[in-house]
Amino acid sequence: MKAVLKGNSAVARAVGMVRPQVISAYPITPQTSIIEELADMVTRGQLDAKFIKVESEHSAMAGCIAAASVGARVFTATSSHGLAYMHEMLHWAAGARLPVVMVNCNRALGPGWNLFADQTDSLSQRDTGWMQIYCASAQEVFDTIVQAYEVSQRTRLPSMVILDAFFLSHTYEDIELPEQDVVDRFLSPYALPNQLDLARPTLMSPVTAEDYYMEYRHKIAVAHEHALSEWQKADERWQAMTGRGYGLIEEYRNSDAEIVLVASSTIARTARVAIDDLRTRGIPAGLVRLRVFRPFPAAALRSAFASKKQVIVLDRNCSFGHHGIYHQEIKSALFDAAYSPRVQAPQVHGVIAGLGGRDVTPEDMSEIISLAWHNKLTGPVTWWDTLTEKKPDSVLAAV
Amino acid sequence: MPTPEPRWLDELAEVAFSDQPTTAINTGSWKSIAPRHEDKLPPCSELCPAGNDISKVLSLLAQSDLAGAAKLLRTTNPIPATLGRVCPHFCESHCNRDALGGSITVHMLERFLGDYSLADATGVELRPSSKSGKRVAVIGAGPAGISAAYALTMKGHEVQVFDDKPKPGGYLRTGIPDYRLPKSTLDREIALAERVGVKFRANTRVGRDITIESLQNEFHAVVVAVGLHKSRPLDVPGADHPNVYNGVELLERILAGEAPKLPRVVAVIGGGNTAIDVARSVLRLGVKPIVVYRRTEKEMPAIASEVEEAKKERIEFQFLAAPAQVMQNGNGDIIALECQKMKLGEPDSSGRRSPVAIPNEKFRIAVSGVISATGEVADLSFVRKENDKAGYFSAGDVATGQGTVAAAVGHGLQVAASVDCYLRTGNREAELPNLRSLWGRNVNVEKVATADLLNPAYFHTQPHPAITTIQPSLPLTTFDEIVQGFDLEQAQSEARRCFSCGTCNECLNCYYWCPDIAVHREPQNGGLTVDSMHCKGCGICVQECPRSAMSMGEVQP
Repeated sequence: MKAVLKGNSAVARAVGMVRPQVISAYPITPQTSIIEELADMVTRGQLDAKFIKVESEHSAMAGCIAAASVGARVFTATSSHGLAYMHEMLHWAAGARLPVVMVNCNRALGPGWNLFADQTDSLSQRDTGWMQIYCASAQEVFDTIVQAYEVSQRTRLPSMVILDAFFLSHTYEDIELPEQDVVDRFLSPYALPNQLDLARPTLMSPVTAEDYYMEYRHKIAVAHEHALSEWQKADERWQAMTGRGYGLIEEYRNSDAEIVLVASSTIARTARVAIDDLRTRGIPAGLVRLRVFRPFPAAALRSAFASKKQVIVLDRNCSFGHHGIYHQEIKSALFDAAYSPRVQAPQVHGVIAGLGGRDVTPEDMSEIISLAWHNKLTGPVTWWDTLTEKKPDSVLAAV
Repeated sequence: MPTPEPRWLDELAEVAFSDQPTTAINTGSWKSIAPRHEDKLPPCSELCPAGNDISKVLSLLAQSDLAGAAKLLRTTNPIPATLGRVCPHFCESHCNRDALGGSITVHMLERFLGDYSLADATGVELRPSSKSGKRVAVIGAGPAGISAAYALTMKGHEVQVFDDKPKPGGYLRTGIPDYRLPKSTLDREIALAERVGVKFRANTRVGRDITIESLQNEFHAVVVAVGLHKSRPLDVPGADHPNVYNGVELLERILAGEAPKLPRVVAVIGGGNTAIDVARSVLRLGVKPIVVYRRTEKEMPAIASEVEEAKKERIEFQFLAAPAQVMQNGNGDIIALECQKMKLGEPDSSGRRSPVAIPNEKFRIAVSGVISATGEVADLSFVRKENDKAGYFSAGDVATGQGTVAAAVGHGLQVAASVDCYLRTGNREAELPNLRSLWGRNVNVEKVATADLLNPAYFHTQPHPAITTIQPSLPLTTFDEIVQGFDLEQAQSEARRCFSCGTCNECLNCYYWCPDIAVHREPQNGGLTVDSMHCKGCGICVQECPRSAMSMGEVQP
């Protein structure tokens, strides 16, 4: 069925179809309409789930953890400060190996108080043990949520499905909604190996000292390694059933490219226009969209960058004191590659742009890549289009 | 270190589980404030002059433990069937339930349990303590005397009650009309006290048939509880007429079935219970009473519901009028009561606005008789100063002048506790004990569970069951009881409306809400305790206690 939905509605529709039993949530802009729609569905009896209104995001996740521990399929959504407030419980959900699925609308953290797109909130949760998938369209949001329930259940790792504030959360797009039975057939029957059993009472997640702690942590690491193939398998199976798949990363005009732009989320959709434009100008540009960020698809990236001259990483985030976070991650993947005799690492340059919802236009990206192509970007990282750092003179006209 | 088996990691579960409790970790050691179960006084018990443990009694009744409820009630109240009928129920004036469907009708439940134990005393009877070998004389078999005698008997003392009337009961028998208190009820209530071991000696007036000195020689202690029976005479010109009656004496004669032939229209002077009781009684004898009172209805000391009943019976009231003269015609018949017109002035020591005469404003009420019911005083002519020595006690109205049956019962109990202390130790306590501290359960009698301490989330509006009264059909001729008692279903549904303010009724909210599982139930009796080693002092249990039966306090280092 075709529908025109904003990103948040696509989330609610997807959650409605995976048959969650418990939704434990607290409102925060810009995700609020997600849980409002779900609450409506529960109230109208369209969704047979318990909706728990909590007093904070910390409790929202605690509610999900408790419900998941007894074997319920759970959902919550948050954003920005809400996600930050949840931080402790994010570690707990992952450490307790609970297949919680959450949606985060990427929104800037204050101060200054800001409601708009920025990836620092979710990337600050990089090390919590959650899987993170950055979506570029309402359709992908829908499809990824369904996939996330399957992958989380199979790996017992929680998933964070991420969409940009407003650029995606509140933008209407046409999407294709599958029939309920497609979703039902796609998802494995829900069962957890370690759920609480009243017949056999146990203390869950007790004190675990140095004798076993590391082993449990190692298991999380192993599960993440394994999760890459689970994401791939789930994506392929979904593609076979619906015709739509996304891969761990998405490449655009990359096979013959010599300079590659790396971006994620909605910026990576805009970037296609810039790539097309640069091609008409004779610059052999390609695009890699990072979709699955945790687990990190290092091998897929290395192969996408094989024999490229330059990689320009566009970060809508920053790890202060160092560089953009994608920038660092990609450099580290390629540094590993440097030990491999078969791969010549490309030059990598980071660009920080679009923080706090500032628009990053196709013209911006054309200009960034053409500057890089002409070796006009100096230093390891460029803060793009800020009043506080002088922009290099445009070279677009010369091309 | 041995090398793990290759599959070792696979065999380890994904997450850690334990079948051992975490009690070894004393997570409560950092708290600076801690909750504790602390029962407080409910407003009803705070105001009950007899100090009844109302919330606990009602909680037992609500749980269908009728015998337990009646028995507990009788430990602090030897005459519940009587008090349930005649008490102005102070307990209901500040009931926290009031705003949510009306105060609990405690008096109806007291009456229900009193009647229950009169009908079937099985499981209700209290057993006195072992014999102390001490003997106590109580002078006066009214409510104070009965309650003192009853409490002292329960303590194991041998008690003899002396009374000048043919049957015990005092003012309950001679002053309260049958339509409020059937004498059969009183008889059975006294019989129950006798079964506990109280001995009554009737027709014996101390000072006439026996001296107080002889009692003081014969008994280890003497309790004077003679009440206030001597009427103040009407002190106006013309009051020495045979058709001018003393209210207390007239009531006694009516109740004894020896009513004189009364004039057709009488003025009843006074605003207290005696005035109302006399007026309603003579009404039933075919007389038309007109109640004459110096102040207004608002200042009347009589029980408001009794005044309401009197109005329903079409008894006339003349407020703001003080008797000035009883007028006679030439034949010596009373023709009118001349009254001084009054207005309300400043509040007096009782807090009520005082009556002030309006100069030269007099009027007459046409009557053929006058009954004076303006208050009573004690007759202590049998006591001399030298009688007041160790072992001499006085109880009830003669000591306090409080004027209600409940106050007399309460004071009787307090004095009994004091006498008991004297008999056991030879010393008298400086002050009478707080009746609530005699309940035998832990209650902080200094704290009252007022409405602001309750958690309103747990209580919802619920009206009380209707109280049935027999509507008077005029002219009234019978002394039948007017207010009908609750049946079992009504009584229980009313008891279940009780918030149990300040009184733990083991609703287990604390137990279920505690996030640290630090509220425990005692395996033996189900009692609740806070595990101080694991309580973090979050206070959720105190907040979620509906009835303020828990408190927070600082942890002593």
